[in-house]
Amino acid sequence: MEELVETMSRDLPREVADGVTWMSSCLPFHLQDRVIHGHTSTYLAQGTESSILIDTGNPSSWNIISKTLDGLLGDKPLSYVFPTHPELPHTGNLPRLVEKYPDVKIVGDIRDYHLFYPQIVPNLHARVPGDRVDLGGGYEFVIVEAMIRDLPNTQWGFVPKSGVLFTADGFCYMHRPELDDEDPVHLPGECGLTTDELSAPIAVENAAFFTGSALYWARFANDADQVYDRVGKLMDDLGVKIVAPTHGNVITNIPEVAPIIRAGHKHAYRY
Amino acid sequence: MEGLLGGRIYRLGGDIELDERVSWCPPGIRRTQAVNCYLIKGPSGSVLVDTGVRLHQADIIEQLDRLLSPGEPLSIVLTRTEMECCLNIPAIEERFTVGSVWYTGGITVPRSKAKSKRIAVDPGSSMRVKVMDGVVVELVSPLLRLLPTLWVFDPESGGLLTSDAFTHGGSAVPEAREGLRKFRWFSGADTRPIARNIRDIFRNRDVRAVGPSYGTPFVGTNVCLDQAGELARAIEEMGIQ
Ligand SMILES: [Zn+2]
Ligand SMILES: [Zn+2]
Repeated sequence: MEELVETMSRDLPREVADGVTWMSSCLPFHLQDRVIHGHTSTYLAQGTESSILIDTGNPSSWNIISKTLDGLLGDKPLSYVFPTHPELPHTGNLPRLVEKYPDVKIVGDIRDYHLFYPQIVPNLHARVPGDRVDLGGGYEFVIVEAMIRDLPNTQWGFVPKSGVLFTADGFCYMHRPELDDEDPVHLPGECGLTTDELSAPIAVENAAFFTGSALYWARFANDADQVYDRVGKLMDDLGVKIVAPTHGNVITNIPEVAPIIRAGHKHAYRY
Repeated sequence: MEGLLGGRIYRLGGDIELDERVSWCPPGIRRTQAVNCYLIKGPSGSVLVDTGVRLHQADIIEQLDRLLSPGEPLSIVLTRTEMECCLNIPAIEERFTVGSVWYTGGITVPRSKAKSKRIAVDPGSSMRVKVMDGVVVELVSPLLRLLPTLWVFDPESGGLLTSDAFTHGGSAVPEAREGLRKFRWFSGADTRPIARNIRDIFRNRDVRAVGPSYGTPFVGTNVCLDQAGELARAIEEMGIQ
């Protein structure tokens, strides 16, 4: 039992691909022998005309998210929000986003949202996989079927121009926290790094930790190979260059990281 | 608002339209469905299990107003940290003094002054906790789940609050499988341990009422045992073995 406090890494926000900015707050998990972090990330994709926020972050991070959006958008309002699925880390700031940007369009699989957020019903617009949102200047956002998910009303998204796939609870894993400056013994923190910048490969158990708890079904379903073969095909078809999960570092070297995520998923089976 | 068990447990909340706009609606169904949270009345304070959907916020506050005496200590236990469980905490905290909020899983829930009590119970096991004087409940961690889930058993009344399980009550011909829409992952899994866990939970306790988060409750020892058996069977049929 402990109080939970989230912090935003000092290295974020950062542009991780053409038109895509990564913001994230970290939640510490106190294990027996060490502390690990879980990301709750929010991404802003921008074209020349419009912008779309992918997931909203936790309500407890609203102040920093709101301020960061001010900096990134200048005097333009946010045009769209794409919540990947209705859980707090992904949708918790929807009411405040509507208050701040009254004309914002919330797009995606919007089943259940009228029960959870009746105050934002006029802003809800149902979208299905294959639907495209034009952001201007050749930038668009495409809705994609979620192949790894918990809640049934989950969707993934894709920005074709920069090849970024947003995978919600898929491709997630824990990471090492940032350090106090007085503690030079440990490796530097990983909160704001992309996977090719990490000093060591992701540990399989850090991927399994996430999968086993957030994707509980992985403990009973022995289908990791089928699932990830399908995901691999989807990524080839789309031309994915970067994977942007909500709870993990941005994955820039997919061929090295994908097998670790798959191994973590298998490890979660009956663990 | 309904007394479920001799004035000890009350059902709060309201109805929704169950139709294609709802992710847990079985195909082709169109009817109303109750969405519930529950109040366990102790001798010196009450425990609210879940807080209902935002759509019913005003009704739930009014129901609490009627059930709680002025200044009565209140604590909240969440069966899950999902949207239909936690989103009314801030409004309830604004109206009543909430001592603590108990919950499980890896995410934070919105609250202001209430003490956060984050608990982990291994799936397949249970833990007795004293939420306040006169309200000792058993938090049962079922294998039947999508996200981290606790069922709340009140040994004093025999009430078992089952969160997103046993949600098929209220349809014309209640069928256990109707309540399993959310758990589509069962169809790719070996579900036998999950079914066994349901049977064990009911075998080891004197369950006199089952109170789900959606749908109408099941009341009576035999009714509850029958429903548990049917749900276990439906879970087995859905899985691979
Ligand atoms: Zn998530
Ligand atoms: Zn971190």
